[in-house]
Amino acid sequence: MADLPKNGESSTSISTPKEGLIPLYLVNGVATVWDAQVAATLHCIHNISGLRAGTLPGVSQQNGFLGLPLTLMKEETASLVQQGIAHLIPLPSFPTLPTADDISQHTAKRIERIRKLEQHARELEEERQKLSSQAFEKGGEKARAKREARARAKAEKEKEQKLRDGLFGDDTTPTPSIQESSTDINTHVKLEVTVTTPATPSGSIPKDSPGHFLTIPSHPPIPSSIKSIQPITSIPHPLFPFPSTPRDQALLDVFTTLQKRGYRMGLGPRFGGEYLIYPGDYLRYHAHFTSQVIVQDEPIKPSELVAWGRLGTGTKKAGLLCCWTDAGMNTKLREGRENEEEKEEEEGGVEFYSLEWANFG
Amino acid sequence: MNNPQCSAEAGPSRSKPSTPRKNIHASGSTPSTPAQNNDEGDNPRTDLSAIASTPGGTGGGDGEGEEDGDEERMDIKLIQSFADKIQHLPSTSETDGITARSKIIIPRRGEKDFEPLSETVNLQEMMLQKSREALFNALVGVRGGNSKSIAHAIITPSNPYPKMLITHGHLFDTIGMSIRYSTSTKDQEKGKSKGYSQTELLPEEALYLLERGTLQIWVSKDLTDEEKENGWGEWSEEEYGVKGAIEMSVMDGFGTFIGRDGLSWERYQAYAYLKRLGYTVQRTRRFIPDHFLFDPSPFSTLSKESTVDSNELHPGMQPFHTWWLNIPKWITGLFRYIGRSVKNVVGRISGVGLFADKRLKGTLLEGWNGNSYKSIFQHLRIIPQGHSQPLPTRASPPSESLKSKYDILQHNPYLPFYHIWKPSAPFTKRGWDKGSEQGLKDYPPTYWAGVVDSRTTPIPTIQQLDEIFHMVPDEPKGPVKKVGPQYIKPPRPPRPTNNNYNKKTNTSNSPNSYLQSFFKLIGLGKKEDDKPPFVNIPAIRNGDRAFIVAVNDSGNTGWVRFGRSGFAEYAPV
Repeated sequence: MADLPKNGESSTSISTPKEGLIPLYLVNGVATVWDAQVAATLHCIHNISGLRAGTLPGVSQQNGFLGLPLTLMKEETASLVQQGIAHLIPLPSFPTLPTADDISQHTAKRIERIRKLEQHARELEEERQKLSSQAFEKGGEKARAKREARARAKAEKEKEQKLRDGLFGDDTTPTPSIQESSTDINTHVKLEVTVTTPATPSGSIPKDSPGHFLTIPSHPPIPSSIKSIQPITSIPHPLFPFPSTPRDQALLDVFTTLQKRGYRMGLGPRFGGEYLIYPGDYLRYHAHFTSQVIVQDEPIKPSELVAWGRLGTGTKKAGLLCCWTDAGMNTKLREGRENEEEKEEEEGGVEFYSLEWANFG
Repeated sequence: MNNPQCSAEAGPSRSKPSTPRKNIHASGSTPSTPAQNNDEGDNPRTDLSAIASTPGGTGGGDGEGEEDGDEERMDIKLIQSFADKIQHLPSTSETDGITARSKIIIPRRGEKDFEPLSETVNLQEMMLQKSREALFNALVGVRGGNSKSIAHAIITPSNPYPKMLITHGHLFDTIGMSIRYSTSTKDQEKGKSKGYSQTELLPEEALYLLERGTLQIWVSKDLTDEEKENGWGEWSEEEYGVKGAIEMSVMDGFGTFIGRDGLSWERYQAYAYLKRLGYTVQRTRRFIPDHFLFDPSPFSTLSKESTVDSNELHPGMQPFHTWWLNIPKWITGLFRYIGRSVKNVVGRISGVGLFADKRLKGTLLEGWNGNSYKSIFQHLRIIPQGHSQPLPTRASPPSESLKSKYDILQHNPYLPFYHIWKPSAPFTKRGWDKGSEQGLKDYPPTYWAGVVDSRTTPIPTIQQLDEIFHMVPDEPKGPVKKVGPQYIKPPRPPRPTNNNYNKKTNTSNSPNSYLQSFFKLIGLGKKEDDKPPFVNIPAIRNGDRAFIVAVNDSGNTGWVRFGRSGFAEYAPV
């Protein structure tokens, strides 16, 4: 995975500090993914899709489809870290500057690269011009005759126009031919100026440079600064204080339990729950459930049941009540229970009930 | 109906497969189309299916599209249309070991887990594989553009607001603020002018432009005067960059700008969401970093600072419109109360004395002597009503807990953070004047927006709402709209229709209709007396003041509007 070519950057620009762990870059408490290959790996192997949050290069004036970076839900991040799949690399609040040597090296490389690019572009341009002039000539006698006739006709017309201008036009808009005939010093100066102005810029700097494609890098151009950061491998951490309350723990347990069973979770607030639960890849399936995470001993009002049932049915899903009990509490409760239930409990202390709105007839 | 391959195959299996395809490409070629369809919210998944259903609408996908308007599954055709449009490195830059198009390897897993599959399941797998390919190929785009159209800025540790060096494009018409600096005395001796101004960027502006691929930010250490003399920190044509600096990556940009000056993830995402749709977005004055409001020129300092102060206390309010303006109201209230009790006493006396209306004695209406329903209700009211009444006060946060100007957002996260202008609304940076009172008057923003995190922020309290409603201007009044916020509908007098009728009858000149209209006039005139008063439902729904809130859950922004309206203001009696 590490040796795959990164997009627009040399493949060596980023390597994982700790082999095998996927780096998730932590920005202000949110884990982000900056590499399409990592996104694909997370999506296909670890069943975590995240949310694309960046402006899509090339189609930047829309929100319908966004690009990298990917931002991960807190639960997604926590489960990846806890399973030992990924670690968190907190990004500094100001990029650490490389040494002056590094900078000058980098600058030299950049100059070389861009010179090459521009040279290449110039050659291409020349090539193109040559080709087009060849094509121009290739038209044969007939085409040339036609072209010349057209040019002659045009010239004659212009002459006529000039003549008419000379006769009826006023002196403020004199045509070049008339100017040339008159021996005025002013016009000479003017002519000189018009000759020299285009020459100046081409002489001093290569302003006629064809321009090149300037890449705004997504990863740091000199990755040494990122490499030196100590990654976070255990959570909660001051920079990622996620499972810190019982409710956080409940969310995380519900998430990982469903994840283990092969479900995938999407963001659910628009559907009135914590998650949308897909039976597989969301590219292929609709969500089947809307979750309601219930922390232990939280009472459920009958009207809430109605609301959740209605909510699920209204969006062609079933409501899913995810009742979570603390793992510590579990061991106490487990005594005297049947084997089957015990098995369920071991999966993180979450029980699931699905809820659908139904009536007779 | 939720069968994915059903919709995916809809195109090819139809008799005219080219039609839906074409539509998709048509919608794809104009980047604005997805944006326009986007009024629903920004769950990419949801929006995608909504957009996808539009092009397919001509075909059989119609029904499904409408039913699943709020569905969350992505359509391969749509992903593909985006994947086709993203920006790659031009093929000419295949030097230096850089590939123009990186190939994403879609990991496959668990193939051995599957039992021998029947035909259809294989097909499903294939479709899924294709969707994944499309999705990840859409992610390999490269930010940037032609070197001649990219703007450049420089950032140093001591000034984390990128300073513009080269400006390109119209985006900068609404982005960036100019700051005046006074030149050092040493430079003044050299004959330089007293001050100079330069354009600097707010964190969200810099980050948005950076991730959009419009701006290259150069990171440099703080420069000494000597280094500055040597052209460090300035654009160098020979170096194709800024001397002594390196490019800031987008990743660095997120790390640098998010969390700075009150710019949380939610606020940035709301900002970028609006900017991508073409809105003009600026911070409200009270949340513009002090760095930008500071004006060093000595003569304007005094006046500027005083206006800033009053603005910060009650931005958007007329000066001096504070609580003590309510004192006259309280006094009149007190007088009214005294008057009423006096009246009560008088009424009771008169009731006793004149043996008048004994029916009300002992009821709540005792002492009432009005002659309309309204007066009855007024008499019965014990608790004062209406938004003009002051709320029971709640302890405001101690000022020492507010270390920075953004800490107030902990106490009231709903405070408007952004002003938003529609793309069509006139706006100039100079006229807006960093959100000064006059600037907002000249260029009134279309929306005032707060940004909150859905997981941690509860519904606002009435005090929080009241604080905000005191800042925002009155809603514009105008004709009722079919969609969007409603404005007060002017009560339509029945006259015009009548006149029309009359005109018509005049032209036809039939005596019968004269009579009819005459009767009608009388009828109407009669009706008007006991007709219930006009209740403007859209106006009640709209409210007289309003603001919007971006509610963000893990990067998913939805928009909510809070309007203030009360039945007291629109009493139907």
